[in-house]
Amino acid sequence: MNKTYIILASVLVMLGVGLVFLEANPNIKEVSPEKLLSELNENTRYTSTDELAKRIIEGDPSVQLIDVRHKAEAEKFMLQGAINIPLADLLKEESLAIFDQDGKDFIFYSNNDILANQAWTVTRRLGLMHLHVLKGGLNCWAETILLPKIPAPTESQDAFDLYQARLGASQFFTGASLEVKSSQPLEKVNLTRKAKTKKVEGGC
Amino acid sequence: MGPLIPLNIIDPSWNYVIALVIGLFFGFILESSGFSSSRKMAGVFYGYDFIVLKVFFTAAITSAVGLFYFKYLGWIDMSLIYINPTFVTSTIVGGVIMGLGFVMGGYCPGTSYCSAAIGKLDAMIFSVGMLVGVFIFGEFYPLLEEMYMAIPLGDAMVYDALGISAGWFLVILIVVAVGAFYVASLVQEKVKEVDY
Amino acid sequence: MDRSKKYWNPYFGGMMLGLLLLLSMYITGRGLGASGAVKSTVVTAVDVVAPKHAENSTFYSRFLSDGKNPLNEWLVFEAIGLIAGAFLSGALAGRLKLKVEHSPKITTKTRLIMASLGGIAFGFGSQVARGCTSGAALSGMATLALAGFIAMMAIFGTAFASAYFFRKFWI
Repeated sequence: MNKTYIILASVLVMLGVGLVFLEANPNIKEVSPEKLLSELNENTRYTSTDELAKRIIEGDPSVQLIDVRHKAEAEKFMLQGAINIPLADLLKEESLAIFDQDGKDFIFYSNNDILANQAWTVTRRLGLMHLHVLKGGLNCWAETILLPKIPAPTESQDAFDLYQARLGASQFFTGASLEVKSSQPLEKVNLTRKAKTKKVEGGC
Repeated sequence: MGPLIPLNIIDPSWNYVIALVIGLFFGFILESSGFSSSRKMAGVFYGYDFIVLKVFFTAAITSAVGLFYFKYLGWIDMSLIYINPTFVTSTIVGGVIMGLGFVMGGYCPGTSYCSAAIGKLDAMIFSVGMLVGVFIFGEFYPLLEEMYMAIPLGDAMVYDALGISAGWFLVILIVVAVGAFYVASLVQEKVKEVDY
Repeated sequence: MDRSKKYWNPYFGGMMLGLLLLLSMYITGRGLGASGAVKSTVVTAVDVVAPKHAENSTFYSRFLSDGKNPLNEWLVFEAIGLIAGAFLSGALAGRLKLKVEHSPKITTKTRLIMASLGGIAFGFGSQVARGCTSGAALSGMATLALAGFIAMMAIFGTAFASAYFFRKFWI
């Protein structure tokens, strides 16, 4: 047996074993303060309530909601599929383990978006990826999705279309049968990779 | 941090140029390793030449180990890498048909381009045959659609299916490969010389 | 083997191929492939010769729906590069020669018939399996996708199992 081949084969096996060790202790690089600041200013981390509603209704499996409020508040109400990690417990090992999943988008929410933004900043600093914040939080969720406001007659067609979509979403989430002008189904969403910069729809 | 184009670190308009360059290296490596000869490739089935086994296995392991090192060192975002979706039925059926095609023709698509490039007429015929084969598939597609879409498992990973971690799977794969290489060298010595 | 002195050591070749595959994933996010170019060619040809038929077919229409020329595809450019690269390598090694390579025990005609049958099978099979040895098996295995390993086992398992019946064509 050729000596060179034996050495090469051994190196290969050692590389494999090295991988097993690396797998158990992944080295996540921290994000620099400058990068963090630029990301904070960009606002690319925000997900609008309309966008989130669409994804939940479509059954998008990549959504992972994280409720960062106190346990008592979360026990009273949580969004569908959300898990509760109070901000104070976010840096614990068990909590950080949640972010180990591939192919997921982690969306923080709280009552406004103050706590959610703090959660985002802290986890982003650790170099974690695919982190988002629900813009306006649960307050905005209630205003836009659960109890959407009828647009004034002078508003654009877009505003009416948005209202229809929200009505549909409202029915889905509350199960209440609200008066619907026309039976317009929600637009089909193609599950594609998100573009880097997104305009935030609607407003709170 | 990779992958560079999906993350816009390199402008996506470079993608086709990069494809060309990657293809260039691909063709060069294949031809230089002997994949422009159908008789060399068929050798793996009859024991007189094992380039298919050696190159294939080594390439798969090199890139898989490299890729997963990149992943665990944070140099690449695996969620942006294309993972072949698993459709159990069609992969098996297609694989069986391709296996027969390999033994009959002695080529696979990539190697047939290689061989055709250096003038092998049988490779050119093989390539033409492929056009016919694809056409037949296209024409009969409605009949095949159900089988084609059966048992979708999405982005299933082989190590999940076996219930172990990626690292351990690679260690096992490496050991199996090294063993196979050793056996291949023994077989090649014993097998009657074939003049090709 | 005199001839193999001019070829690379297969382990070296394999390592180079693996590194190329890794580079491709790092830069473009995808692995290599080959059968895709054949598919694009066929789709284009059908569209040119019989556009109505292409539009009505569930298979061809998928690749024509966005109005883009089906040849405007990553794999087509990669395939062009493949041919050029192989040509270059062959030229440098003095392997350029128009010929039909076959076992001395069969005729040229037999070899060409088998090559065409093999090609038809591979063309059909690669569409069914959504890839060939490069795209499905090799690139799939590199990412440790289940599809890659199933493809590899199906292709090579079948080939090994049926090799005995085709031995007269090779040895």
